[in-house]
Amino acid sequence: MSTTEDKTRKVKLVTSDNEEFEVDWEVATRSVLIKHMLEDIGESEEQAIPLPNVTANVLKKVLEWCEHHRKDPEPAPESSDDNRKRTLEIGDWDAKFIQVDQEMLFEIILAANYLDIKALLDVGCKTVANMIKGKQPEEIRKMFNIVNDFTPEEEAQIKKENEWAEDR
Amino acid sequence: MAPRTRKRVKVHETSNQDASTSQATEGFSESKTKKNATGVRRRGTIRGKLSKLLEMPMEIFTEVACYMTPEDLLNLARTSAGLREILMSKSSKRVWQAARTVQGTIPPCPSDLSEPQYADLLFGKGCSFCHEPRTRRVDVTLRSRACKKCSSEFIGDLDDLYWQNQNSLSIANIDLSKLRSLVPTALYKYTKQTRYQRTYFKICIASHFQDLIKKVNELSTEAADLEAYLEDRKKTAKAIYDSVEPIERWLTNVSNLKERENEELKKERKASIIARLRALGYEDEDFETRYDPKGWKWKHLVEQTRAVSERVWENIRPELEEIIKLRRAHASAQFLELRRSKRQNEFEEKFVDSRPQIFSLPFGKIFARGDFQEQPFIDEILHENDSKLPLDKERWLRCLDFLPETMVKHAKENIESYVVRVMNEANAKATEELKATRYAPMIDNNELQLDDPVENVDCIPTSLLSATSLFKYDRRVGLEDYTALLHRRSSSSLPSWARGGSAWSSVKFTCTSSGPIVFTASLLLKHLQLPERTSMAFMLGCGADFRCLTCLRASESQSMTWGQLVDHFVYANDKFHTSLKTIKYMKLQIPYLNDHDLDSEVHGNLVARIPRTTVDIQPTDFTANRYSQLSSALGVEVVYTKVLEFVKDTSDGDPEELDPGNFNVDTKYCPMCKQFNSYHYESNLRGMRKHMRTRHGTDLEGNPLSDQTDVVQPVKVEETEQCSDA
Repeated sequence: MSTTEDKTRKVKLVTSDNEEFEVDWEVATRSVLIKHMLEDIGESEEQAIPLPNVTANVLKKVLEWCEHHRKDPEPAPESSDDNRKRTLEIGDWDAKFIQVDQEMLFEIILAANYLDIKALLDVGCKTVANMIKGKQPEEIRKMFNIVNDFTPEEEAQIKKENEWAEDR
Repeated sequence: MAPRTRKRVKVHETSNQDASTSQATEGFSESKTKKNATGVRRRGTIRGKLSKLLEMPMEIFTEVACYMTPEDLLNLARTSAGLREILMSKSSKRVWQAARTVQGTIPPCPSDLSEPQYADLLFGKGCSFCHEPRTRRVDVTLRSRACKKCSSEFIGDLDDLYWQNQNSLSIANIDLSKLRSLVPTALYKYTKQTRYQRTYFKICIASHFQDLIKKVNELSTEAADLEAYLEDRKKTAKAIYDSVEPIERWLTNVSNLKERENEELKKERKASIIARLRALGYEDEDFETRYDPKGWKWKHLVEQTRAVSERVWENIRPELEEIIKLRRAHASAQFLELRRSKRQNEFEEKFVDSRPQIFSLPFGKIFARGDFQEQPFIDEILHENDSKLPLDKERWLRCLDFLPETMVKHAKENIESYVVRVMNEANAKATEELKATRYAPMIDNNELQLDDPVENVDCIPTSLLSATSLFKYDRRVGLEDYTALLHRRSSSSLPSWARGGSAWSSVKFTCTSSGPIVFTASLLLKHLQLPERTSMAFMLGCGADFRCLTCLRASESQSMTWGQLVDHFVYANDKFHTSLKTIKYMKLQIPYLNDHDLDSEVHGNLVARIPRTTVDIQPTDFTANRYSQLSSALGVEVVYTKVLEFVKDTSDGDPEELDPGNFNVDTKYCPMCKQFNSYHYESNLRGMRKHMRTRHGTDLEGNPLSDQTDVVQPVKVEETEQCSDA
């Protein structure tokens, strides 16, 4: 549980390219990873938290998101359940925030995954899923820049074969 | 933290050159090239836009896949062998399950299907048996979509399959008919008449039925295995049937939702196109498609679900403008007619809305929507500027201002002149007939002339105010006088379909008179001892005080108005002559007398009137001869109380209901009239005696009366002084 004192604390974060960020405790703890690390190191304010998997430009973007969502309620435990209802809707601010190039988009997703920021990861994944939505196989191949390695016969056949691979 | 496993998605990446070698890609590239050749701008490329996703750790890929719809997952699984391997693996089951929650409330996956199979059933396209893309609706029970050809080849009538395979079972203790329930079947409705006269058939996938028989035969020696197999089949069939209803409901809901969404999109597109065309100066008429010949692409261009972007607008605008140009040339006459009709409808609506206001005009100012609409100045207002101007309030008030003057003029010049002409013809015929009667009343021809319509617009021609001026109106029973005719046209309630009344020009031929009407009215005046030149105002003032004494003597009879009395005698005389012809035609020897013969001296008084003190007008008073006086002077608005007291007939003595004689009162029909198929009914013996005497000149038994003139005495009527209000 966070206390009033916690909320006024500053947290230092160090990126893989050795850039240091000082942010509010409330902003930093949007990341479950950082939150756990802070709990581990206790009240030692001076100790910077290393984030070797995140570069400075990505962390800057991630912190921008955390800053905007600092007051959001913490996600309910059941929302991590796989059976939860999923929607493709993204809030207006998030949609604008995630309008970045492909490189940055996947960096954010990776960072969100690494830092364990579920809500940000969802925004990234929804954005990618939305880009694929309604596309035909050939369009998807084009997006992924991959070759169609099925022969025409195979391609016709796989449309009929939809059982699990292990059952075939 | 424990280091995470970074399993990555493995797929074959391609260069542009590689992609062009793929058959599927070739088609895609070709279509793009073709588009470029038409000058359509190419959209921003998507090539490689998400290539990074394939470099992501598997957990990220899975997380993204969890946000895809089942349809997207199906498409993704058909892009490459690598992705197919990942997605068709049972370990991806949670991805497919998650995908169902993204799509909405898809029912749970049935136990007989894998998640991808279920997704294919719901979202897949094309025939389940061949490569045909066009299919019939998915059959959830049979878990398939079939094209027309495969439907007849692979799906069969369960009964037919049963008869074809009835000898295929090699096991004695199992009846083939019991196996029928183990194959999922759907009901199929035949639209054509069949040799079995059946409407519904149970259908199934033929191979499923044959496989079942084959399997049963295989297991025929293993009783336990066979039982287990059959039990398993039974459970599967039940699970399939249980799953059908929720899936079909979901499919229907999705289909309805999609349809509604498409309709909305089409509406939006249409509105957007119309707004853009309006901004270019086009009008409502330019968007009217009802006169377009087949082959014009307007609807094809407008009624699409795709939104109108600037690029789309640039493409379709020249075509739309070209069609509008053609439309203007092709259907200008129809559009003019359409506008005219629209203006007339507006006029009708406003006219009906204003009726309460118009009712306050004097009664004499007759009006009807049709009459009004035929006036040249109204026509001018409605059709001004090729009828392009709507009939707004200001323009309607311009019409309304002219109403009283126009209607009086119309009444005088059209209605009155026509009615006078009708009356003149009837009077001329009646005069000829009257010359042959013993009464021979004279009708003064000078009075039949039209009054000067210009000098005295308000004055009604005297000929129309005479008691003999009665008209028959279309299919209505009875006769009406001129004032009633005007009243009916001007202020009677109108059915909604008439929308304020038809024009006089279209209905005047339903207003007629005839020589017999005038002739009968003239003779009745004589019988009532009234002057030949009695006014209609006086007769109307008498209300319903007239009686036919012949009918009164014979049976019960209600009192009548003047119009009803004349109509009664015209009808009775017509009927007599018709019956006489029938008797002659049938060569019957039946005595038959005209008991309503107004020219006969034999029968004495035929009609009676109870004079009322409230009639304060003299019979020959024609002073109330102005349209503006009609409402009060002619008493049309007075509601008469019919005086229903019977006049006591003393000529037949005391009541005779107690003296039935030999007459069979049970039949109550005249036996003589019955001979020529005319059923004359009397409710009592006294009435029948009268009928026999006056109609046939016989007693009740049909014996001729020795001296008719001695028996038939003039009826003595006890005239009662009564008030109309009594």
